[in-house]
Amino acid sequence: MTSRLLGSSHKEQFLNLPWYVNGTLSPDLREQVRAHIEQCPVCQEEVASLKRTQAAMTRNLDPVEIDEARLEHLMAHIDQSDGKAVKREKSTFFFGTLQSFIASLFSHRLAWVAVAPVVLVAVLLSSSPMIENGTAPYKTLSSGEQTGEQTIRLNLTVGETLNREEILQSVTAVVPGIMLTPEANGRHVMTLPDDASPEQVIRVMDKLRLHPSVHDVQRVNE
Amino acid sequence: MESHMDPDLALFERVVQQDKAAFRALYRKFYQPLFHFLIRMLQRQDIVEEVVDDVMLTVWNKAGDFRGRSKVSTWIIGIAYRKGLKSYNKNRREPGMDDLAQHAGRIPGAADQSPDHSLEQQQLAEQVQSGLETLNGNHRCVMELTMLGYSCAEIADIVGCPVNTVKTRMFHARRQLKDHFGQSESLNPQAGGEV
Repeated sequence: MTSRLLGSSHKEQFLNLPWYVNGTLSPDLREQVRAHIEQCPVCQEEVASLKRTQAAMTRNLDPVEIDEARLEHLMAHIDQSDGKAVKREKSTFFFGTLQSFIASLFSHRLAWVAVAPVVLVAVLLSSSPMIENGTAPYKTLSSGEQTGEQTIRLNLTVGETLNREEILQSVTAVVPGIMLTPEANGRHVMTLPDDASPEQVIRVMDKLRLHPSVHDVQRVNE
Repeated sequence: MESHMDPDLALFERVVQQDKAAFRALYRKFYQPLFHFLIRMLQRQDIVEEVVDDVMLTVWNKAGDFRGRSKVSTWIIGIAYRKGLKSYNKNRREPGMDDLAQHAGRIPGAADQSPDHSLEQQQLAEQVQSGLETLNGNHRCVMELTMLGYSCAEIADIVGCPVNTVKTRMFHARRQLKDHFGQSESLNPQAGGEV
């Protein structure tokens, strides 16, 4: 039992030797280690070896000259970044807040219990076809002109027995996120997401032309 | 919190307030410790200079994130450790990054060998250098930081692991160095690291 205790103590002190040699142990621990070393030849030899290693590793280190040009270059970079940072500040605020929120979720596991239903509802909403009030990336006709992109709009002439839900169901199978808006003159305007491909637009128009309630389909912005 | 005994804290607090003069002073103060730490890891002066600048730029940008849980120097060396490892992994395939023995005794930033340095000391330095090259990055960093005078707790902060892991890494590093030296006269590991 005694030898086991001594062995355990030796192991602990042996592991502390590097920091005994570099002088960073607390005074109490340093005293413990010193007392052990006095009676332990293995640790005495280890201390000598560590001192030689430390001397070999540190003796060649010369003072290093600072390259002033590099420092000035770095300061110039910081000056430049400061200007950009002011502009970035507002946009990063939201993402910074979001990042902190997510970090807090990971640090408090129970928070997931509260957040999980919200996330679930959000996922369900985002995966459902966003027909009338969805958040698909629409752009107005004017904004499309400003950015050089064209919003795809179709003018529909429809019969009186129009079943909007049925029409939308058939075309959102081709392109999710289509909107159908009635206009004052009895016509309807169908708006497709900006990222719809030409093939998808053609398929949507074909489906509409084949639909019994739709009499005519015209693309507004060819 | 070691603020009352951290000699760099007053200067660093000015850096947190985006005081550029204070940052210049901090750069001058830490350039040499960072250089000495990184040159052993990265070997090439041009890369080390870049990494030092990158570290200090991070210090400037992230100074507000410092929470005072460690000394300022520990926090900065921690940044250098992560950036140094990243650069090492990125550049290790380039010539001059691996063959430490080839560079032993002529590391940039290391003193030229003056005539009064004995041949034995020179050989010892070369042995240690080549031995360090056999260690993996984590073991080597713990060894370097210890020899540069960091406490076990500080190293744990820097490399982001528990204190006991630092001790274990140091133990394995020492054992591997001894294996490398074999029966070398100069380090003479007669004890064999048996604990």
